[in-house]
Amino acid sequence: MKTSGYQSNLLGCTLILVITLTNVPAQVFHYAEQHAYLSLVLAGAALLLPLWIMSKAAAIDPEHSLMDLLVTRRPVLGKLILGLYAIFFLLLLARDLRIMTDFTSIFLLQNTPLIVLSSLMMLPVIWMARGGADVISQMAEIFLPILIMVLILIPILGFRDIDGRMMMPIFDLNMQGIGLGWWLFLGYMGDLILLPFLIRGRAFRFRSGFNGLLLGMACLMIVVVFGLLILGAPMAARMSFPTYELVRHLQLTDFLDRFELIMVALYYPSTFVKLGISLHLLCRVFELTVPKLRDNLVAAPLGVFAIVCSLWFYDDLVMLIQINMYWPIIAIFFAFLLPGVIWLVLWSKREPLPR
Amino acid sequence: MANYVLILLVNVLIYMVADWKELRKARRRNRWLYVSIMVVTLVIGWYLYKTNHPFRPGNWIPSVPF
Repeated sequence: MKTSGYQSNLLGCTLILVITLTNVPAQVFHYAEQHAYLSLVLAGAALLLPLWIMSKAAAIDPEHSLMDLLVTRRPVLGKLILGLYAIFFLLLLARDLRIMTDFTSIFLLQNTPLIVLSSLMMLPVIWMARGGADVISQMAEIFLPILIMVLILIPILGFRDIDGRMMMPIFDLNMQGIGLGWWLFLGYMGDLILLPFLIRGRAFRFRSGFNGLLLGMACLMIVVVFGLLILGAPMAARMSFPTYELVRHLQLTDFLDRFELIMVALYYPSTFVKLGISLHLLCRVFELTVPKLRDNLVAAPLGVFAIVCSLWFYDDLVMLIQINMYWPIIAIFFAFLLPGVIWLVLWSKREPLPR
Repeated sequence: MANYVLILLVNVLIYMVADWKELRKARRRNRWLYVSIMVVTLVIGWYLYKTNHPFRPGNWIPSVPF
């Protein structure tokens, strides 16, 4: 089944938005202060380059998906590149799972062991990955619009708490801080490079990625700008999860005391979609590199392996936050350098394959 | 600290039961791949459970000169 344009927009938005809005904004607020939104715009602009390169690489043979193209045209080199991306997919899966496990452990289920939380989270993700790209796309179609609606509620319900002085001085630009904020955002927004590998049945188009990027950036902009206006950069920079604190500020009169719990419950399924994308792509790499292996067979072992990796790689949330400064190095390699290599590899064998 | 090995073993058993039909149809080499990933997972889980200060790749990354 083909991935529709609407689905690819939502998937692009999922990749950029869902995990980035957890703890990265706090660090960006620390460095870029009241100009955090400029860091976001710059990170989004930088991602246009890899999207364009990937669309050019995919356009070499629009009949096939990018992963199939790599394996059929350059069997050895293609598998090597996919092997490198498999490491990237595993790292992303472990990082995202650990962030969500720590988030759940801190705010919702303090007494439950981390391994139990991550096992429970991985259960729907494994079933989603077994279903393949179609299931993931359809899940994104259901849950991402709900998440976007929740984010749109932030300006509506938080309007009375806005303090315009939090954005002052607006023209005193701290370029070094904005640059560091850009660097931090790039590490997480670089996950957008997963989108070209996810599109099936047709070539990845630049416009699909661009629309997803715009949608994700618009949602992140709401979080960043209203985080600044409601919480203020000095306070938000000292929080582990500033978006959660922002949502906690929202009150629907006296109707619901813990309104944020409903919002968090609506947020969780979108995170499962993001985890499902990483796991599915990891399984796809195995399917393409191991003969006669179906991707749904390895979903469970790789999912359980990701659980243990998420607990093994990172000691605690503090380490995760420290490593955020180094993530952009990984993102630059996989989102900027390797797409260039992919384009070169495919371009050197660009004549159409015999049918 | 939760018993990593026990909880991982429960996970492994649940998924192996769920994948039983697929595993029976799969080639022998692919069955071995499935089992070996599960075994590596359990070994890492056992290492994490038994070691007080395990080696973590996350500890090593910040030591990279940057």
